[in-house]
Amino acid sequence: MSPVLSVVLLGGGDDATVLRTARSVALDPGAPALLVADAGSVSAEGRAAVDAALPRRVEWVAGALGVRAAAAGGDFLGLLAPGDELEPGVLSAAAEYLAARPETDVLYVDEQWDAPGIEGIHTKPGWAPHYLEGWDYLGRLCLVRRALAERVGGVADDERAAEWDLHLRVTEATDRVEHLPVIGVTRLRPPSTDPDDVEAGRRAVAARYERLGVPATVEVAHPAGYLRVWRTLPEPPPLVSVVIPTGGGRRDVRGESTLVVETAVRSLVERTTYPRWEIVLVASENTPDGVVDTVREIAGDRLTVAPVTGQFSFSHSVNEGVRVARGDLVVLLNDDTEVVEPRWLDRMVAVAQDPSVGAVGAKLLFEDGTIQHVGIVHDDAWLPVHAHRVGADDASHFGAKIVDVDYLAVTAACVLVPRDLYLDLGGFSEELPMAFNDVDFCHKVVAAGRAVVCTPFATLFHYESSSRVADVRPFERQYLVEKTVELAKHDPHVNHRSVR
Amino acid sequence: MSESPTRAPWHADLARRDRAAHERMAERAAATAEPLLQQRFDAVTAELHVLRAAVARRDALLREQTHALREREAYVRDLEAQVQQRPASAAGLLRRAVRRARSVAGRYVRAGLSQR
Repeated sequence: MSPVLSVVLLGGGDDATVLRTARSVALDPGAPALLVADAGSVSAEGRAAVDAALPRRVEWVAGALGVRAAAAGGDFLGLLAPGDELEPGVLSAAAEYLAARPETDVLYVDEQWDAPGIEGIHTKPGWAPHYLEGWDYLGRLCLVRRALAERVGGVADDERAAEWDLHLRVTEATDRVEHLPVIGVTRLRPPSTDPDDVEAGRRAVAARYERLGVPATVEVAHPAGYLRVWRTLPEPPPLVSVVIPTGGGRRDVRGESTLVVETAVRSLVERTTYPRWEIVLVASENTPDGVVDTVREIAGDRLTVAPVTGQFSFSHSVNEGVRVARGDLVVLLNDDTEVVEPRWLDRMVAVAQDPSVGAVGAKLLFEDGTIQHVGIVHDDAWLPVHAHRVGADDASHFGAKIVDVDYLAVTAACVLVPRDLYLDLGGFSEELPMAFNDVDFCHKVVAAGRAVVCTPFATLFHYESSSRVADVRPFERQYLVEKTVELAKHDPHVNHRSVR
Repeated sequence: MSESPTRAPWHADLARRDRAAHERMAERAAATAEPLLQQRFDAVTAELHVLRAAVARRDALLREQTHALREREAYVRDLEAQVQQRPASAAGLLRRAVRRARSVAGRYVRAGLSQR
């Protein structure tokens, strides 16, 4: 039996906008759905028109949003603004989906609004709990089991962030959150960027941390309404070991031949604001004379050298570096990077304070400032690729390059991992000496029940050529097929349309 | 470079944990494959439902438009007949206007029918 859905309208509507939404619901005549509208915002004539468009399927309730939502019947409720339109068939499809999957507590669909190009087409990822703390990506229409909504306190009266607040509270009580990847709603207006509304969203996320009893501050990361949560660090903050494998290579950076590890270490020393960190330099045996001395001159007492012999293996080198490391947290860092954001390490450590997080990635930029890495997704063959690669470093794609987002994997060019977890998981597999060892490791993190999060606030340059295309060697492809491809199918950034 | 005596056993122990972690990955992959497939199936079913509804809606709109255009064409034909009954000198301009209107209406009818 299909559950009954209640679509509760936010306030601020008038005759025309409420009728517009009602007509869109009427286009799905078989849907077990009711429209709950604000009796105070529509004239008698307007109400008659709405009732005529949607006979016996409209509940008129006077009062604040919380009152209207509490009065809604049905098994699931979702919020829409007056004037938003539901696509034909989406309500009945959602009801059928929920009937087939009765364990689902929250179901959300994709949405769109008027904007240039594809900017207003919001095809959402699967359940990404850290993304929800940076932006209310669940948006509209998000159907929440009514009993669960009541259990967590119902819908707030303050409409400015009522949706985000509801989504935060219900997802504290359940992780049975599913995504139906169809464009289900056309908003009349795009999500608000009004400073008062953004501040209300910030308060909603801060209230979550108060409920959880976790000390944190929440700041506005971007005027479009994207937020950033800073979990308070213990005192003293944990020691971080930055493990840098190097062969002492040189590369052209901004037109000059550069000893890249020198640039990386100098930027670490001169820019990093985090107070407790050390460097473990894993020098391969072909490292030119003088390189280690150069690094020691810059890093001083922070430096520990861990020499390795034999053919270069990134996996073996970082494993050896972690063996020598003294920190509670380890950062694996390529030697061809350069710190951009001085608080990069404060940020990565703050994200790692969440005990559900097992690996934290950073935003890496090519020399020209375009995106090299803000997370790894999977292509149609379930092979890993960098999300937004060579895209602009801006606020597009619904804040994905600004706010923390859950991924299945992040690059080990810069990744922070609790040292204990690294050891429990067996470190980097030495069967993959150069490439894809990071993806493989992140799959182990996820299989252990921990999240992989990229936090773009932590920004560094990565002086890898933007024209370089990662070729998959036959043994690597075989490894991925045997060990990671099945789990890659859980990638929250891939949906059923990718399944061939 | 000399190796510490603890180094080789440490790496061997790490490799053992790596194998254990990969076994957990394989177990998770096996345990979640069928539920994931079922979820994909349910999502595809829902998407097809929405697509069918969209097609039905478009079909209904085209039927309405086709009907309206046929009515308009009949009206234009009626006007044309009236014009032809008038003296030729007075009706020349009107006849051209009606021909033009009929041409436009016909084009829309054909376009509407071709999308059915």
